Amino acid sequence: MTGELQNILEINNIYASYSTSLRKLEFVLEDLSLVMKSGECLGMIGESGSGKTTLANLITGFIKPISGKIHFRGQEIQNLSLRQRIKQFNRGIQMVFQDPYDSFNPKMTIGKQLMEPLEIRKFLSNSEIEAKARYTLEQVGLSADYFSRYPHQLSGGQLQRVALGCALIVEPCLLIADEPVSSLDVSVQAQVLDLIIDLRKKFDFSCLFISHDLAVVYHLCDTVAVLNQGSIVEQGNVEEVFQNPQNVYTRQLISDSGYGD
Amino acid sequence: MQQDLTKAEYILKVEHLKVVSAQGAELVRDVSLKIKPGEIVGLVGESGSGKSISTMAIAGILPEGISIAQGKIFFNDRDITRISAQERCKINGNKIGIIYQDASQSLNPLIRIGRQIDEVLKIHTDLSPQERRDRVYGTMRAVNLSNVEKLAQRYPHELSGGQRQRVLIAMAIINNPELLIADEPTTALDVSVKSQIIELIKLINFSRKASVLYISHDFSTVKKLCDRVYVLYQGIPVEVGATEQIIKRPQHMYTKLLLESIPSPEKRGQKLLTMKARTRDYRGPAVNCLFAERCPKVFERCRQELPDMFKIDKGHQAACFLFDK
Repeated sequence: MTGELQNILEINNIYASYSTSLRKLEFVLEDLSLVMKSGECLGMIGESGSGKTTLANLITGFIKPISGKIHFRGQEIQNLSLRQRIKQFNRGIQMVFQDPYDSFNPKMTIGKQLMEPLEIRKFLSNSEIEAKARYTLEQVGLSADYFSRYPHQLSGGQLQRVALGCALIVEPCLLIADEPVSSLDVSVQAQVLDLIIDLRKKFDFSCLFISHDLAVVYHLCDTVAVLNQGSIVEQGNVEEVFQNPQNVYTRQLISDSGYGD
Repeated sequence: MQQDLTKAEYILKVEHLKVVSAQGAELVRDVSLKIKPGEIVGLVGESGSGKSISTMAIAGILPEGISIAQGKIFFNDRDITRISAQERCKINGNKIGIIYQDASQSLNPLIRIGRQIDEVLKIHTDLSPQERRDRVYGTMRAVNLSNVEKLAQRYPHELSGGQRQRVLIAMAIINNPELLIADEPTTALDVSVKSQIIELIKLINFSRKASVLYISHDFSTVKKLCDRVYVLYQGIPVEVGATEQIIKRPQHMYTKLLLESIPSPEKRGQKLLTMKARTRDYRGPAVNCLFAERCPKVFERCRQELPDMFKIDKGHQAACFLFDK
């Protein structure tokens, strides 16, 4: 659209809460602001309960904020329904979740599930959709015979590859990956990380990578934001933040992970 | 750390342990390991490597249908491979303390924390209720839980993940066990809590003189905690050595693969893996090196025979024909 340096995502003063009563309002996210540049891979780190997943759910529209604004490619999106989102953005926001076993319908073949996001969007013919699904399957490093298999026949790492495929098949501008490698074995995790690096080169997308594993974030991301108790306490270039953390909490987190030394 | 077979100086000695399922699948093929008093030994492997099953066999808590087919387990020189349930009950929770992986599933949701910890004492000691209560509170303080009187009245769901893990550790150590088995106690925890739990296990090892068998797939915690490490692949240890030997000078290609899988600052943004992707685990009897099809240095002999442990350095061994001299 406009200039190259456009911000793909702007979050301004977001408040979010799961409280049902207005009298006892407890904020999960409090006055959170975040800017993400187009094409960058932003790592979001923080302990459990810090609000990482809530933020992801806000951006994807699974929950609505109490106040504050979210701009995606310049357009306000915080109050759009999921259906409106699909209508308005051909290349929108896609998500990959933590547990690959919970992310798939056990009664649908892998191929069918890969095709579904395109079928909903209705801008390709059936044969085009299938061709694209097969191509995507190949891109995530799985052979063609996985197309007709069922989720239970695949390992966790293979399923996570398919999950990446399902997300990337619509060529999204922004991929939100919520702890995509946390439930995987180390060597499988390494495979999926290699794949993400590979796919970022092939499909051009920005990535919000949520993780509690600092080593993975350092490996993969360009910039990093540190979330603590619902607010971002530090944000910046990954190398700068890891080598010279300014915030007390960030310093603690980095020394606990043993990444400082 | 020289292995010395003449003296019976091991708190735990496992010899050629083989565990099979009812269908005949080999879950643990041939595990031998030794733990000296006061030692912290790590058992590292990915899922399916048989590390949890091995520890279940040691603790005598194998799930139904899974049984020990071969091998012996000695605890303090006594064979505990096939002892009765009553005998087992005298050991578990008393001489052997076990910390399970998932703290939220290991506690009874309907029973208050204090009573759950107390249960261990009730079964294994004949202390008076007052003495028991003191000891429960004392142990809870020893695992760095604060406000213990109040906490003892709580139910598991009212505690955080880190607190629950501490409660499990308290239950495991309350009878001052000689051996503490920790099955991935930090997997479900945050980084900061993780490093606290590691420090706590170190402290227990030091102050209570308990040997520790620490099971993990995570080299970063193993590096901080363990004296020696066994690397397990598909039910067979492929490399044994002091932690430093294993991490700084890994010899078996599988250990190298595991170590290169960990993102490090030097490899930032680069591809991590140089070896072949994991294939489906083979569960039949092992006739050749199980890592052969993924190994970049494979040669003819690897496809024909199963390698023994070959000595590399003092206390450092690897199951690879490259070291057969």
